[in-house]
Amino acid sequence: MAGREAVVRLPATMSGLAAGGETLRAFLDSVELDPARRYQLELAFDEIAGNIVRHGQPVSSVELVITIDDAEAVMTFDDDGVAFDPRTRSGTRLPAPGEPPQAGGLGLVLVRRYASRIEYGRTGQHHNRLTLAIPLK
Amino acid sequence: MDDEIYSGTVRLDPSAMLGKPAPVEEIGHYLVLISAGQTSRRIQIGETAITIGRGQDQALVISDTSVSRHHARISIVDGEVVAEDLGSTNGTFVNGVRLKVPRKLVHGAAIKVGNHVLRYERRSKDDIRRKEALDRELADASAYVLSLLPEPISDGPIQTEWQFVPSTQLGGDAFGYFWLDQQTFVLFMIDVSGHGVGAAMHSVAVVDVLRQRALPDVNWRNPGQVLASLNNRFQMDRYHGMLFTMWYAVYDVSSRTLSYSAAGHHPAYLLTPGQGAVTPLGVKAMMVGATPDLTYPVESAAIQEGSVLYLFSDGAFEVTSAAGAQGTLNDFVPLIGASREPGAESDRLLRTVRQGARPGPLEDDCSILVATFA
Amino acid sequence: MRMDTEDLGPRLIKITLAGRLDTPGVDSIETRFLATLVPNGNSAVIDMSQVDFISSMGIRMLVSAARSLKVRQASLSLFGVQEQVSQILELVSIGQMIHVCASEAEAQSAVRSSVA
Repeated sequence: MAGREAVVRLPATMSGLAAGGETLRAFLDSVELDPARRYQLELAFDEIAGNIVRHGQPVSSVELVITIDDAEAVMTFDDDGVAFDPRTRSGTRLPAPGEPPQAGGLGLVLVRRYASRIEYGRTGQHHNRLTLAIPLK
Repeated sequence: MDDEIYSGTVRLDPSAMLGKPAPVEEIGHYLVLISAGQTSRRIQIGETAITIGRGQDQALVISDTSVSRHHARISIVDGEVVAEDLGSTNGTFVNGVRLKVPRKLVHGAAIKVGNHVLRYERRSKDDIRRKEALDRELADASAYVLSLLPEPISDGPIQTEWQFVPSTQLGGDAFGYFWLDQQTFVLFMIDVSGHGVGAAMHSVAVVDVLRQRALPDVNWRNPGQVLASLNNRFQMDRYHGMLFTMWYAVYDVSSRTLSYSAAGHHPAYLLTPGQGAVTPLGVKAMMVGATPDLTYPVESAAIQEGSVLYLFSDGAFEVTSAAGAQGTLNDFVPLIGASREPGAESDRLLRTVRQGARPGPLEDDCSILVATFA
Repeated sequence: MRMDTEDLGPRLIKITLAGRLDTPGVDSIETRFLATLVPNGNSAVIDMSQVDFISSMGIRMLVSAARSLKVRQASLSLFGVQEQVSQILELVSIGQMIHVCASEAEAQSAVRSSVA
């Protein structure tokens, strides 16, 4: 299968998450995917984008670029939120550079189980990028 | 320990790096050469393409018979980084797929040239600086975790041996054992979810609590109580979302009973002399830190003379094979009891695992603890 | 996300959920879900047959309810769980706190026998 790609942009709100999720699912409907793998992609979206919306505030939008080929799906999430706000988390260790705003709890445990690679980075003053790959073979 | 995987030498042609770098913007393109047991080396991809091969005229020379004279080329085309195979014998692979035509690389892509692995990264200069600081922190954290692991025990009612191989990213594994009193021996293993300094420091914090017996009102002989208390103490909302799996057991020497419990951790395995198969010693429960006020079931096993307990982290079996398949627990368990090297079992298992793995460093920390009960 | 409730007797209710227990889905019903169960300490059997998806937010909602109920000697059971959802629940070992049953009858008997 040649690579298929989609871009999903959503405002960083609950309704944005709902709409973005629907856009993603419409795209996934057009690609032949094993049900278990498809679930993993939907899960990654909900966990990562959901995490940004819930913990990355202030943030205005999230953009997901998803590329699917025979071997794997690569999902890149870009958001314009701050890396963290220490005032909102008392008594916790600040994330090291390269770590996501919140190590993520159960959601990231699930994503880590299925992803073969996860990379975090900041690509600008107010620009977070998270890339993950989920094998499809 | 990993010399057999990296049999060649790698040399960089300085003139490749003196060529004009990419325009000074926020974003830089990099290849990271990952060699097990050493700090990774970062090469910037500039306007001049980076050619890779055995030939001395290549920008990145890899003197290894698995690599062709002119093997691969990495270049920037229209702002995107592209990898190309130059008709090599063994092929160039991007994320496990052999290149037939030039392919755009996505951040994090793994490029395999012969037996060597390079990772493509797109990072801002700021990011790079921070990452280098982080790598130094990781090296310190790694040394710290290692310093907490107990010495192997070579005689007495319980003998132990172990292997601990931290991944390059430091995965948050830790384990330990100690005598609670003359009759009672504790063994445990933990695995913090995620990688990096945060995960490593979290595992250190947990091990410290155990070593200092710093939990209030806990019967240390009761694995369920210990887990419940640790769970309430290390709730994820107070620890930056950190969660960990754990296996904890208490051996009573006089009754020869092993009581155990676990939180999100796969079973340990008991090999009883004279019995064919190994017995899984496991319990199903949520990872530590997920939610407070949980109770953990406790089970027990009778330990016969000469029985051997195998306790290992998922880094021991979630290893990618040479064919690209992800290993599972069921691939590892048959190795236990397949053969025996008394006193060197953990080494035997680690060797076997690495022989079947694809080249490159292990992706996750690997811990293997073997305890023999006299 | 839709939620319907039905009284099955003293301190026992049946909840039917329909939709996705994802971040927006949970956000839309969590308050009502917890309010239905927790203040009165009602045990519940939950029909999951129309729940197509669950993520960590959904797991948290269920586990949080189960925890609060435990204090009041009440419990939760799920039945009719779809395949993929079931795999996620199994992965996080939700069985430690919540009964996952094959049928409504089994679910009812599980909560009744848990009540002190």
